[in-house]
Amino acid sequence: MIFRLIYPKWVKLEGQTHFNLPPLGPSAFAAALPEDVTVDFIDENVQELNYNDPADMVGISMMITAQVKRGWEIATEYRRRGKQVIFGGVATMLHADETMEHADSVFLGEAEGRMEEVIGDFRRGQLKKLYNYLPKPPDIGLIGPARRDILNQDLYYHKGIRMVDLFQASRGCRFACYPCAASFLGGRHFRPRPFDRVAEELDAMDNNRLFVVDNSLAQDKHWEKELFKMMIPFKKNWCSHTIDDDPEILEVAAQAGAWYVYQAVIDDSDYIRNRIQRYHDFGIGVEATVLLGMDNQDEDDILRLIDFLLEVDLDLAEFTVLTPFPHTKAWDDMVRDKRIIDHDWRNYNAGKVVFKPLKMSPDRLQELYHYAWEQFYRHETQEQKMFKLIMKVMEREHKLGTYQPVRKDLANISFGRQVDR
Amino acid sequence: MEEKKKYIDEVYHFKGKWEMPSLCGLWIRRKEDGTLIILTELYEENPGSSVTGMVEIVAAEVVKKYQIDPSTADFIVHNPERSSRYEFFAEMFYRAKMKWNGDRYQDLDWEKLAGVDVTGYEK
Repeated sequence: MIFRLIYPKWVKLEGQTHFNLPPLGPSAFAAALPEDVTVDFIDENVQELNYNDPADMVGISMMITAQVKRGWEIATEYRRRGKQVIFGGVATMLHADETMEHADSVFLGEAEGRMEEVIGDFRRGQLKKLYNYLPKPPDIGLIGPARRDILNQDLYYHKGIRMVDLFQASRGCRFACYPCAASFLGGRHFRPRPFDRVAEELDAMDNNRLFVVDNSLAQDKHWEKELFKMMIPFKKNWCSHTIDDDPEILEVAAQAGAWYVYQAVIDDSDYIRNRIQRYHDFGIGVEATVLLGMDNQDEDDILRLIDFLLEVDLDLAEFTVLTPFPHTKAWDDMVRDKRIIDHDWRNYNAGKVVFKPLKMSPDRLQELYHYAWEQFYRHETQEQKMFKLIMKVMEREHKLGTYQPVRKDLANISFGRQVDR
Repeated sequence: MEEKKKYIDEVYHFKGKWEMPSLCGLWIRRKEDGTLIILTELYEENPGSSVTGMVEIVAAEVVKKYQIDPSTADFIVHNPERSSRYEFFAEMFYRAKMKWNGDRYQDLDWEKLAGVDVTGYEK
């Protein structure tokens, strides 16, 4: 049985360096399928989708809201051709009601331990309209190594440099942050994977550079420290979301290969300044994640924040505008105050203003968003700053003896497409 | 259906979106011409859906369970103070204005309130 698994494309943010990472959701899903199912994966961001390719069943994996309308389009065409289509993934859960209108079946929750049932139902011609496992997350021990073999790895290189592989040491999140739906998706319970399973997956990965995509590593200090200790022998280099601001933890994180972290910068306080400094003290880089348009921000706050970012020693910065995704407090607040002005999910890409900010016009926030990108990268482009981070990691790899040379055969290729050097 | 108590102050469990186990604070006070019901968001303590997003369903459950006249029930959703310096986690009260159709609430609209006056309600 051929299961065609599709990761729909979306329009990347205007003005930013475009890159594509090998998606984790589809490979984790593929690992949950019965062994006799052949997975034929297409990442539409880097591959052309051909509807004529052989497929017995079609799965559409959607991670972000900006993918959903494209996912629905793909489903419509396959269903017109008589194929049954099932949806899953984070964005499917956020938009489940609407997605059901475009699907033969919708799977909510985590796939591990559930796919024997789904595939069995399909084979018997009894695929259900809804598989709701959202309230019943599987035993975290069932999560094995993701099936990265379904990916065409050569498509995730930029000019010979391999992109990071995505990796997960835990699911769930104990926090309930304003713009984030992670707690709805994974439940508000932090669920660490058993270390032996994490080690099994790390051992199986041939990529030295990872993105640890856990919602936050700062969930439990003891776990965090033990995780980093366990990771040291694998000699990986990784970026991640926040790490606990604790010298003992930062020390062991650095030993485990912490390359750079995404740190939310929400104001120009000494707290943030010192936190960035402490990461740097341990040799860990910092990419500021800067959310613009929060209700506490006026124009002056945003301009002051941009000045602050230029003043503190950041390795990278990423700007987004507040986007009220369903199942977040931001969504509840915006709906309640009738502040949503754009209901096209394609525009929910965190680069377009889809709501009325409290202290400025939507147009002004949009301008400030573009201004922030331009100002931060006016002297050194995003690609140049990223190159510096790559050089840093290469230096470490040389010391550890893990350096993997740049692929010369892909020197003129960026994510599968020919480019000039 | 529960005994008609004068007041309620409890953690209320409900089925959220996609049957996610969910909870909120429930505070009920009655007076002769109506009942005041305050539903409080519990943020990190809530493993599922917000009561704000589920208010029509939760309100219908509450009036049935506690024998409240739906036509005189006044539902307020309370976002409690979270000791945050950011306005989006400041304390807020919203009245959930809904129509009762005999079985469920519909036509939800929200009214932001400066606070809630509990004068005249039984303690």
